[in-house]
Amino acid sequence: MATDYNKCMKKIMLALGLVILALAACAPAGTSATYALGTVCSQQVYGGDCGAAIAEVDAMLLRITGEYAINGALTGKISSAAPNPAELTDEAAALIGASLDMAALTGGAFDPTIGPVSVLWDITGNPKVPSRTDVQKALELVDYNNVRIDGNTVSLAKKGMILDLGGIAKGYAADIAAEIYKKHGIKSALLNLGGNIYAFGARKDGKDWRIGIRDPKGQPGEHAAAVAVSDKSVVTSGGYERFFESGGQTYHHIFDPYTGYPAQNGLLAVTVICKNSTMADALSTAFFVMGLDDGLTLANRLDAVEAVFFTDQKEVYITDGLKESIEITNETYTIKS
Amino acid sequence: MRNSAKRAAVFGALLALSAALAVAESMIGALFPVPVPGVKLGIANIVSLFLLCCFSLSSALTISFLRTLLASLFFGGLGMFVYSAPGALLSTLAMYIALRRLKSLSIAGVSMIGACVHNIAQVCVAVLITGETGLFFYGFVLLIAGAVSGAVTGIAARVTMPRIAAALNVRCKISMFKEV
Amino acid sequence: MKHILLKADIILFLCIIAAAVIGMILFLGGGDAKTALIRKDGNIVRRVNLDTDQTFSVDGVLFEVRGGAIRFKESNCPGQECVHAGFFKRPGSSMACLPNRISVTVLGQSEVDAVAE
Repeated sequence: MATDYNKCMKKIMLALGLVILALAACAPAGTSATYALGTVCSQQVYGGDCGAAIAEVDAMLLRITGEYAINGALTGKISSAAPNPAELTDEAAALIGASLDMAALTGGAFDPTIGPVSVLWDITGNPKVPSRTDVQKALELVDYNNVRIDGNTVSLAKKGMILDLGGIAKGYAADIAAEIYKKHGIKSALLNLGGNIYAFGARKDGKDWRIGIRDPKGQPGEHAAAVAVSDKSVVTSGGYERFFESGGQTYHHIFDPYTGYPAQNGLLAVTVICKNSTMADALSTAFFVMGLDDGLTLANRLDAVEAVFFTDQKEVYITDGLKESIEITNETYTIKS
Repeated sequence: MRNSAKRAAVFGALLALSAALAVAESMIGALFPVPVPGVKLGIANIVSLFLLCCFSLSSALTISFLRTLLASLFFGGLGMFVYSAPGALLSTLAMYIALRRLKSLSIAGVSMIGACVHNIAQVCVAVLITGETGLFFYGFVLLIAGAVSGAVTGIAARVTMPRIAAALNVRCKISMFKEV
Repeated sequence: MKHILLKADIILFLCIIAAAVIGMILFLGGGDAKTALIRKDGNIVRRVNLDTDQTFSVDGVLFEVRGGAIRFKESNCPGQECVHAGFFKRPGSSMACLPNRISVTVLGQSEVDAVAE
């Protein structure tokens, strides 16, 4: 009968659809590119449950973008509650907790309470050089010691304080992505969150991932050095990323929490290599603010953290652990130790 | 005329078929990574063609849009959606225009136009998002891929569309089989 | 069996292929070709296409491009290290003539999997 044939065809199509969907979830390799965290985020994933892992990471990136932006719901909620405590999710509490740990570790060179300064300079919107008095006023609100965190509640001691998690958000997202990859049995992956790299596992062919370090005086994509890593995050902070010019001077976006002005200490960029991407993200900013001497000393003191410092004299200073493994790819730079 | 229950069933089946085809295509595509994200061969166009021939432009656009949404949710994430939605919609529109205006083309030709427009739109979106104008070069490579896959898809459509119409008990307004 | 492919289809197919091939030939000049950047005082002053053999000078320093590689051919600097370095073709490699503050970098397919920036 014609209707039996119809029913049969429909069943076949449905079954076919389900089989294909099931197979899709088991695809052995996959790539994806998403616009999140204010930039292009790309993944290359191999082995394990690729399709599901990629989709989950993309969804997570979009979620993190919305939740932790400086003018997002979370920071607004915490700021308006000040000086009273605000309730947080487990994840938000963990993220803020991590940022405070980093502040303590670096003596405040990385400080998540730098929000008022970031907002004042408005470097992502309409940047302008603020008056000295405005900077001083903003600085009064900057001190990570004025943040109390108790379980899942956080409170800012002074009204007007703002948390800026931008210097740690990409790293945090990368760490969550690594957990997602592990959960799905992924063997090898390369995650690139707008230049914040996470090399998960080794390359598909078993060799280490070869990660280039941006030439601070070059074009995007041009590298001055390269390292071979596996299961490590590579994060760079540099004045070249975001800056504006006014009155013949250049102002970049890495502010010194002690002066309220862009850190000017002869460094062009600092790269940190560490398995924990949250740490790498925060430390690269901190080392840049601390300058070569203090930054290099702290970097050498920290286990499992390696760093590369580019000075404006085109010198490259590295931590002891990199002496054998770093390669300069732009011969106009010289390694010093 | 068809009642709305039957219409819903028909569209549902077509959406499922088109989503399944799109996902299968993505899976195969993931094995051969191409620098331009979201580029596919366009096999799911068979369903769009069917809708354009037997229903309306609006139904074809709606199903294309929903199919892209479904495929992105299951495989590839919302990032994939941003890349593939414009291509799917523009190629459906282009095929509609080709069906009405370029009457000397058969289904294969219409399908070729659909596939090429889909790929060009994909490259344009990729360039817009990444700012990497070097990607335009791949547009030309993909034009060839579009012509080939469009022809293959068109021939496949020619063979399968009558069967789909029979299975869903649908009678088509436009004769899709241009006889010479 | 009625025709599956009509004459118009075949014409369309050939037109698309022709357009694509022409596009690739025309666009190949800027697309995949290997390039080198010449910098003076750190600023890019010239982009050089390494596919074309040529000789040119930048601020008194003579460069030569041959066989997809570039070198400092003549320079008025005392040390002449730049000239002695010879040809560069490896993507990412670069050399400078410090007294003249001129450098050259070869671009192209990066040898790294990703760049941290």
